[in-house]
Amino acid sequence: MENIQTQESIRPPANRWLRRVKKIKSNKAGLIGVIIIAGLIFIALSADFISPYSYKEQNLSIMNSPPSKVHFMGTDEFGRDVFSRILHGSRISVYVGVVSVGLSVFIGVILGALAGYYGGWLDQCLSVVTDLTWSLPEILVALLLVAVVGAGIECVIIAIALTYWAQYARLIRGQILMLKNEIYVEATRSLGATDFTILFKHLFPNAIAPVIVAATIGIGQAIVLEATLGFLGMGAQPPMPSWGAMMSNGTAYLFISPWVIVFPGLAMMVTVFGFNLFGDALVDIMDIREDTLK
Amino acid sequence: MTLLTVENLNVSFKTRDGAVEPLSNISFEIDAGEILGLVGETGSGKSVTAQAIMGLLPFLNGWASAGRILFNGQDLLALCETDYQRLRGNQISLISQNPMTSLDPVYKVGDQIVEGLKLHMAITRTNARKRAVDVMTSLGIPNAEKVFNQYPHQLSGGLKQRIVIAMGLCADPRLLIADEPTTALDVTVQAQIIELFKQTTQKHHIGLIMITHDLGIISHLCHRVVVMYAGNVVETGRVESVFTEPKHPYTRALLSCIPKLGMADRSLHAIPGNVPSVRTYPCGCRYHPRCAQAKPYCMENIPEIIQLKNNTQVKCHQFTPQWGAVS
Amino acid sequence: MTPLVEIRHLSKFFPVTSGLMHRKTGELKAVNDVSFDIFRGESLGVVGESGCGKSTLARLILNLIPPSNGKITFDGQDINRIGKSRLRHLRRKMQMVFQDPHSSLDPRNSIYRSLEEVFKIQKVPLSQQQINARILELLGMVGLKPEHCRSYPHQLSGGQKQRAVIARALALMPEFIILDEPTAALDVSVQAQIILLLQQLGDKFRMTYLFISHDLALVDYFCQRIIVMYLGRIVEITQANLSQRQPRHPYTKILMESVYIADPLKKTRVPHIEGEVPSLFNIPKGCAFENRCVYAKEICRLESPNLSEIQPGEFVACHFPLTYA
Repeated sequence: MENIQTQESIRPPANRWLRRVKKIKSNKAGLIGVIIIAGLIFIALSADFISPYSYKEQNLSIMNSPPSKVHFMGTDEFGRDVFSRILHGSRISVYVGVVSVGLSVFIGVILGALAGYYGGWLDQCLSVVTDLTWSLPEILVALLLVAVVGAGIECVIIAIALTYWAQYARLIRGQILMLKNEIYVEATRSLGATDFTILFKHLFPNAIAPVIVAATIGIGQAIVLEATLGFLGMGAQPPMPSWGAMMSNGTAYLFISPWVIVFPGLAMMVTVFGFNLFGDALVDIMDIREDTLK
Repeated sequence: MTLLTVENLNVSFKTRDGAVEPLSNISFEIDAGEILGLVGETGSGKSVTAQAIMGLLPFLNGWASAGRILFNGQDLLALCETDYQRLRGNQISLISQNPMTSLDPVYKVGDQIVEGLKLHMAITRTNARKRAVDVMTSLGIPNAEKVFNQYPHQLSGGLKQRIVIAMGLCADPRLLIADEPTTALDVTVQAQIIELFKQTTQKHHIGLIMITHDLGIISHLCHRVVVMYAGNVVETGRVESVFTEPKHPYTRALLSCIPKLGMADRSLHAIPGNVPSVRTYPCGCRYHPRCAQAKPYCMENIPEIIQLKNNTQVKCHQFTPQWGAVS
Repeated sequence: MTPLVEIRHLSKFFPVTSGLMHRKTGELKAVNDVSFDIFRGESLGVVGESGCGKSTLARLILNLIPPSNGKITFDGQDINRIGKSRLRHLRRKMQMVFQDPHSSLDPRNSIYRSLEEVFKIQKVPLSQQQINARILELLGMVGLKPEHCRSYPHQLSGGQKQRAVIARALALMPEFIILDEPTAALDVSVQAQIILLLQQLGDKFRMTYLFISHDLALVDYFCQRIIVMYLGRIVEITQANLSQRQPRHPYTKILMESVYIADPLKKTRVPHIEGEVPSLFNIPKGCAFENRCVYAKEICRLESPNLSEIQPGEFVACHFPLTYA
């Protein structure tokens, strides 16, 4: 008769996540990515507390002043502290990036998985819709939305959600098409599992890796898009300090106060870079072969 | 006349976690017109042996760390890549396991044979085509002219394998190495292909190294057999003697664990344990953990290759004169 | 003795479509009018080459794919007519061991989870402790150690993986197990271990097996009766120990002669056979084997022979079954 001790010990411990955290430490690129993202989130959450000045307080007497001890990144044409505006701007970037990609992954993955799994006319319909959506330029959609409901970051988010889902749908559909013929899927089905169980417990976890990579890159893309729309005056409205709007407003002063464009640009670059690195590392971490103790 | 001699060959590969040695101290030879069987399970090193002979090791992060491979008196391991290219397909041909992947799907099969010919012979395209069709016909391919212009996906598995064999034979090699050429084929098709090998090698007096895990094929086709286990040669000899009186415990165990159609003794005896992986080869004799006759001596000492009568060699402590004193 | 499984006129046709609108242009007759019985406690073998339909047959019997025609009765119940929940319950009694051990297990699940899942899917009313005990018991039955619970598939050898798959199949104590090429992907020495294990378990639990393989020698060793299939049809049903019997169907004879025996003193007589198995998309009207058969006559080209019982328990589908003096 097996004693309780042995019975308990056969269940694998639930510290998979602990192991994954440890794994990140060894993947240098991923570590950098995590640090950048963690930093970004921290800034976004605590912008109010850590920015030396208010982001909208104007002080025309010191407009367009270069970086100094007082104003770490200089001031813009309204005398507002660039550094504080960048810190506050991170909120918009994180919000837009995460929410829009989150939404589009949600839509895309569900539609793509169903299409891949069930096939038939569902798949055919979806392929047509995906291909059409794929070819839609998101900027155009955003402009259309702006024309209909007025400018603002919600437009950006919806525009991204409506156009980006196609790539995630396609990715996961491809993976599921490949995986649904694996023997373990058939074996689970022969045990009497429902489609739902098979899709969620077996296919999703094995199929999700490329979607994760694309999603992290997508966050970078979304942030850049918001900046582009901001550049066109479509995104966040003043005095909201979107990095893109900052860059847009700064073009007029390019030769007078270039720091107004350079610093937001750098901030964007570092953010996108961080997300990309993190995405790559995430896939490595989730690879089951690496995940297990040797 | 000895065609190929492998002498004390050691092969290593570089991997992410360090170097591994999948072949240790391999020796055997093959004469012209002889069919030599190389038999072993996964991890025995039989495919690596083929790669070593063909000079393909550098492309796989591998190298021969010791030994010689003598072909027509020349040490192949000392050849540079350019010389090797002249040899491959020309004097020594390799026929690989999966005909599906040996053929390029975007080219007609005939063109692929011609490509090989033009590499090795100063021959015009018309003559090359003619020769290809001749070889295809002699291999039993019906309507060779028509098949010449077809793509791999239009042909069945058996036909594809015949094309691959045609590619190997076109330039009149002296030595043919066939690595599991029939594993992916149906059993009736396999019988045809094996017969083809037999006839062709006899007709052209070619030496054939038949690499397989199937003891039945070895029994039917080969003159001599080399039994490999975990990177070592454990027994060599004529097929008749090795199969009727196997010396090495592994050979004996292997013969008794395959179901044989029509054998009076219908009992199967499994070999306990698993084939060791290349990183965890046991100390001393690599077979000792699974050997019914193993003694502590076997774990501590690597066996030598012992010459027995009937031109048989075996790598086992049991056949040393000191065995009686040790056990 | 009533059979455990009765198969009557079972067929599976796959439509072949082409064009943008996926019009049906032809039919792939994977399984064509197949009828036979499986008796309780026996090991029945199904042997044939590629395209003969044996794997499709396995999936039809387990209701993994719906048949185009015909009836499958398990333990008196027509598995295509009973409701979903009763079918689910029936699944406990019949299981399958699939061909490729390397992909039969979800690579992201430990062996423990893969086994536990069986109980969860079937909503078996056992406490966690009871499930744990049963899992340990199953591992012991198949020769795995308790430590293997925590292992993932990629950490195990082919043989160990297949043992885990067998443990999974046994979890719910089925009466009937279909083995679809269970040892094809394994080394010869490991194959013997698995075969002996299956025999042991079969004896212990009075298991009924359907053993599908292309390896005639293996099927002959393991099974008591053998079905030979060709191009979706059954051509012969006979007792095992084939070497002591005379094959009735020319194809069976060719198959037997194509098997190489590892005994140099018994040189195999090479069978004279031309050509290859015709394409499934183009099944001839008459006997499917006609174009390769040395005994074929005119009627073979025109009419497909029916499976008839020429001796008690022996069936053959041939216009001119082989006779021996």
